[in-house]
Amino acid sequence: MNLHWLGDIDDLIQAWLADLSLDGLLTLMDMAIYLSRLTHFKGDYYRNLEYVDYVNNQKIHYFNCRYLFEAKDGARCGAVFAGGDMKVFRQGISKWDVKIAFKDDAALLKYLLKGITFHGIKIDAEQALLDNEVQVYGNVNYLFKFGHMTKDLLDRFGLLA
Amino acid sequence: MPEISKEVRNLGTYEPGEDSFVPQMREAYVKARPEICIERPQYVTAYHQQHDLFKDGRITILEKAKCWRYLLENKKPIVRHQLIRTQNMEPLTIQDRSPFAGSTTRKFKGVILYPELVGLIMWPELLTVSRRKQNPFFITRSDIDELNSRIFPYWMDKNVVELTRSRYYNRNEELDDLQLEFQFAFYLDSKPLCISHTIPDFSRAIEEGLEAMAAKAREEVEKAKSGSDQWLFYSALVEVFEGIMCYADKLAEEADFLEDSEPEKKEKDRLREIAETYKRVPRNKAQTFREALTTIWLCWTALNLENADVGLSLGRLDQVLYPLYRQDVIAKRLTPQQAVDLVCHLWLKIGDHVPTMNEAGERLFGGTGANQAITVGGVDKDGADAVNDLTYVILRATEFMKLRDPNLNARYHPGVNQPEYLQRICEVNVNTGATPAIHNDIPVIKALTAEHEKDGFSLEESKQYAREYGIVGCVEPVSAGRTYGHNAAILLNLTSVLELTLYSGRHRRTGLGLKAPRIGPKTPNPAQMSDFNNFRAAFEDQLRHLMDRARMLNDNYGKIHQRYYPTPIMSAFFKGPWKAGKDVVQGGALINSSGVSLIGLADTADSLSALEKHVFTGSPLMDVQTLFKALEENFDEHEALHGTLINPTKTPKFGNEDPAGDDNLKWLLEKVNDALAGHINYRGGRYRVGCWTMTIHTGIGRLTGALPNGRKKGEPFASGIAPVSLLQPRLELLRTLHSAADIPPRHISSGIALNLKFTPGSGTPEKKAKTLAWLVEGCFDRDDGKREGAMEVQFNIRTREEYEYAKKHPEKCPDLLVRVSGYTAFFTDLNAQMQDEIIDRNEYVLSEEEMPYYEPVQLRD
Repeated sequence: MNLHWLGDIDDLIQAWLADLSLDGLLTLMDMAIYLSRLTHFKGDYYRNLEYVDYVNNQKIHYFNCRYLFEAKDGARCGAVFAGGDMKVFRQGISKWDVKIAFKDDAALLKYLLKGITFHGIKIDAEQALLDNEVQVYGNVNYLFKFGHMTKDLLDRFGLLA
Repeated sequence: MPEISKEVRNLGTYEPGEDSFVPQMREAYVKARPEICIERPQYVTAYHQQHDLFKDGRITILEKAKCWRYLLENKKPIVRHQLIRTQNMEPLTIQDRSPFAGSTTRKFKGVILYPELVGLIMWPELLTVSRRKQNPFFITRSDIDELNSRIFPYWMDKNVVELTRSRYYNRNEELDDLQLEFQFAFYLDSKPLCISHTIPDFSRAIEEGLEAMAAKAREEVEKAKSGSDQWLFYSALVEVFEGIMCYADKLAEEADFLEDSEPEKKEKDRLREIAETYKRVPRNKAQTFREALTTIWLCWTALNLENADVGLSLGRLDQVLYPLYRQDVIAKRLTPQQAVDLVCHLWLKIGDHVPTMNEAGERLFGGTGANQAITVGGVDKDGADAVNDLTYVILRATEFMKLRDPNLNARYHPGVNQPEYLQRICEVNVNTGATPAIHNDIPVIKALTAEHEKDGFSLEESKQYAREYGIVGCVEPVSAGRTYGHNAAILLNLTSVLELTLYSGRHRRTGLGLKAPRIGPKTPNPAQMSDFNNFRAAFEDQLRHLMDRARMLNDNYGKIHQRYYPTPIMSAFFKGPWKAGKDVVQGGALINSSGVSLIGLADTADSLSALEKHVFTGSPLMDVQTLFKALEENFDEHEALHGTLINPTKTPKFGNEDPAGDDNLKWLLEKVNDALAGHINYRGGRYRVGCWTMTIHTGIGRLTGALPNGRKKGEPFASGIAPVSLLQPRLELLRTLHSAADIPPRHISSGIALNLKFTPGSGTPEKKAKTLAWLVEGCFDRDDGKREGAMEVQFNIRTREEYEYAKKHPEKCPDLLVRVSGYTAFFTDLNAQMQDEIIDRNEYVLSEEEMPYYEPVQLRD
């Protein structure tokens, strides 16, 4: 299979990342999962949706979780991980395992990306806490997982410094 | 009282030489960056999965004990570490020559992950933790993958926070007790972090050996009904003893193996000695000082595998180890100098791990070690002088090593301990600049005796238990090996109570608008209050409400620990569980207290004094609306008001020997104790109150707005029980000491940290130590019963320039030791705010004069 078009996608994504939003992040994550499984584009990112246990090394479990992102202005977005796949619901979802309520996209991204340098700007972990613009309901460990997936994604595009 | 030998009195000049390998090992230790180790989470996760331990909705103590045995049996036996990671994360080969084999992790300086507790906070930072600016941890790519794809996923719905949430807070209500904790500004309940904030008892392990203890446990198993709670308990003890003995055997085998291939004779001899020692102990009773140290070290390793490294402490080692030390010295098998070398090596082993901390935690609360406290000196169970030669040996080892872990605490009993001992403690403080903390036996024993009596013990038992106190974590006194008292269970921010009172149940962090949630009860608007008593009454209402919420959450966390996280290893080394046949987590210890430590105490007391004087009584300088406006505007354009509020001659302050200021602090302590009175924790114990703040007074200070005492938004609170710094004019030292000495110990039985900072001035260390000793005597003095005497005092003795230089050039001062509020830390590991707070603390000159001349120095503009 000729995969030269992946180079164009990479350029496109780099441009996209310059103006990252929640919607952009979820779309990118979705795309990276799909493409990495299909073509190993940017490695094996899709493996973030899988885990194995110590009983049976061969058996793959899938990461299942329903995230609801809810902005202060009422905008809602859902991300559902199930069966090794990801789906984005731009109108939100009714049932969730973890709900992240946030002031706006900037506040959420600051929270998710805290501690890293993104596009030359150090995103201050302490400031994210001081600003108190993100509330988490439900199982906070899922947010930790999502935080890793976000940073892993940026890492694969050489944006994690 | 054991007579102190001339030889140990002169130990202050002894320097462990190159042939002891102490200097080389210390150098490697200071150079080494912490490395995340996944050995523990790997084995623990595998065992829980293989045995499906969560299937029944609870885990028995026997199942858990089998898990620890599995871990100990499979843990890699490391006799000689090979590599460290340097400050720039490059690998560096080291020559490990420690007489103690084994390690808490596989690394020379490791970070232990407890995924069942707070390990998962590292998940979002796995890819960046080795690159973060403050206190980075090294981690390999393969370990990141293992954590991400195997270990952390298993614990997502099984760690203490999630199990507590799903069981008790699953309605996800806005700002329920759990959500309120995550606001960080109200209270921090620390059970997701640890529960075993305590001191185990090593005496039986040393005197009997683990094989004999296991045999006794087997006898109890035989007596108990099969499958009963007691049967499970004693069976669990057998499992953990077998696990620890197996680990020792494997270390002995490894030492034998290394010896076989070692070409160098001296190292061959060292390895042989390790192998022989580990074949004998901890299986058998220790016969020598070195064997006793080895027993403690191996039991300590096992305890840290089970219990998070957060303040777990070792107790009165000069008492526990003295008989074998003395026996060896008399038999001429050991010199005091060799004992110093051994203790130095043990200190490095004890400090071979650091706690898990994510970046936000580092920024707000960072720089902490594992706070493993060791206690020396004081009196014995009968009230006689307990200071012995080993006390001096331990002091010298601490003085030479200047490490943040272990955290040394010296007890001093005025009138019983000798002045020479106090002088020596003070010398060590002058020479290290920060350690040991000094505890006043008289008020501490008085406070603990009263607590034990309330727990139902006779007066004689209560006194005896109190006299045998040791320090946990930072400064918290407990009866060593008897009190399973989670002293730091709740950290309550008192300034939040003040805010809730000012804003009728609302808080600036969660919003003051009409639609904002009310955190506390709707108490009257202060503008409508007729006098200060009304304000105090509203404050009490808010205090009880917030305390109840923090207490309920603590109990719920505790119940989750009981259901899923029994602690058989801790129970094996504790007085009480053996008789009760019950885990310490279930209330098996003799004393089962919990503790509340107060954050922002002096700031709240001073704010009350400001309100009392300027708003409610006398000639009002301001009304409530003016105050609200000034707070909202962070005192901008309110310079005159601000100047009045920070002036102790115009506004009463705690620490100025001014009853108007001190009384509000005493009133606060009384009311906090009242709010806890009659409440029994989930283990059947009572709550105690203390005041030490670690670095939290800066962290929470960052989240808190301006206060009525003149403190501006984001500034640190006063540390521990110290008065507020940066007043104009500054407080005089003697007045501060008198105020601190006047606090009733019964209200602070969980311990205090009174931080004092000195610039060394001129003169010899001996003269400075003499001055410091005079100061301690004055601080602890009861003034013919007019005062109680301060419970504790701790020092930083360095020039302002040294701290400022270290802040600017951290790479040149990696081991500059400081006292934070309670524990010791390396200055350069602290966050910038904490560094500034230490630099800005009230500072006095430690003069060489016979009588100290205290001149508050001019600090910042």
